[in-house]
Amino acid sequence: MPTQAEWAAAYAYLRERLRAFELIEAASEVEAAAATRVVEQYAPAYPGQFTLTELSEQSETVTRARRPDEAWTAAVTVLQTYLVEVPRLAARIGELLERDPANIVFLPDAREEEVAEGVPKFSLADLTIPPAQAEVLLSELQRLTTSGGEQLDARSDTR
Amino acid sequence: MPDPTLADLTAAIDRLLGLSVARAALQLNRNATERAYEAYVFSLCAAAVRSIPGGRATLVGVVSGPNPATVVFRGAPGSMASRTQDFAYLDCQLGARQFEIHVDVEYEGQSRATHEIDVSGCSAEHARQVRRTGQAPRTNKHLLMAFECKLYTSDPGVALARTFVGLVADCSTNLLNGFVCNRRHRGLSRYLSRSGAPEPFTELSPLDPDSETEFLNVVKHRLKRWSPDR
Repeated sequence: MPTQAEWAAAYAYLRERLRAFELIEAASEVEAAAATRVVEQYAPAYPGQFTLTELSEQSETVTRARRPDEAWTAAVTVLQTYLVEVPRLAARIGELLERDPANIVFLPDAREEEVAEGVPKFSLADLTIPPAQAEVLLSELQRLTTSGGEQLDARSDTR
Repeated sequence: MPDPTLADLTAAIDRLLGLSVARAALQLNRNATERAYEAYVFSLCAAAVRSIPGGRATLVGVVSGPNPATVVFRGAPGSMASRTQDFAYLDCQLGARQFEIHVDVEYEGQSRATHEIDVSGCSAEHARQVRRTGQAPRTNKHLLMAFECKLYTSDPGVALARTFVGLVADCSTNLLNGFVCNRRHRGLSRYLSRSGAPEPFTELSPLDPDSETEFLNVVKHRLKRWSPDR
């Protein structure tokens, strides 16, 4: 298992590569996810120790910054959302509406188009990934989550 | 599988970002993924109506009419009455009840404040009147369902749910108000467990068929209760 310093280095490398490829929005999302604080229940250090509520009227909730391994997991979750969940979402809408994703489009109101900067114009085909390429992506993503992902999810008490 | 080393992890990053398909997907505008998630919830509402015996849900283009070849959704919240694009909505019928389902439409609340509702159901009569007059629909008795939809890429906080609670307070009582997102979080679940809060659907994702079934069942149940005379 990598040390915390190694998880931190891996996380820093991911951020650096995202920015090098000018994936600025994805890099920002990764950073925001990694910066999200963990909310945990206070746990007595030994049986019989007073709880916070018993000691005072404090909450039993404790918040803290993520450890490097948890920041890594959060970062990989962002990648999974874009690379796995969003393409599946696009395909599923096509199935439910019985349309080819290329024939489902999102457009700004034409009356407001001139001032609607930032309003996306796209079809769901832009969000889909062909099955063969999706498999390659999934396989590469799994290498990032191996040993980190699931174990860390169970450890970080955020759900 | 053995634990990865730092070298394994950096090599995996290089391989992943070396794929053009990965870079293209990571270049997506955040707004685009948000809009897609709303369209997903809209599509599930269509499936829910169609799954009720006697239920009908027809896609309609506001300009072209029923079953448009290209389905056009709003790229940003806007007017239900707008005809500048062939914006789509669902024309639904359950027995004698007629209603429509819209995506990203602005409503006027009980307080007269304007609210954007990601996915909404309103009476067909009211929607037709809105299209005739060009006025905003209202969150009064004609609003049947309101869903706030959010595709989270990381742990959700309660900020958006808090905003939606405020919106719901500015609506008259209706069939179903739902806060729909793709990630569960204890804080969010606790916040939405309060009395009078919107119904939480906090793990709705195409990656989890059970979550879709649960959402469909709740929408179906509410609609069936509302239209017992089908």
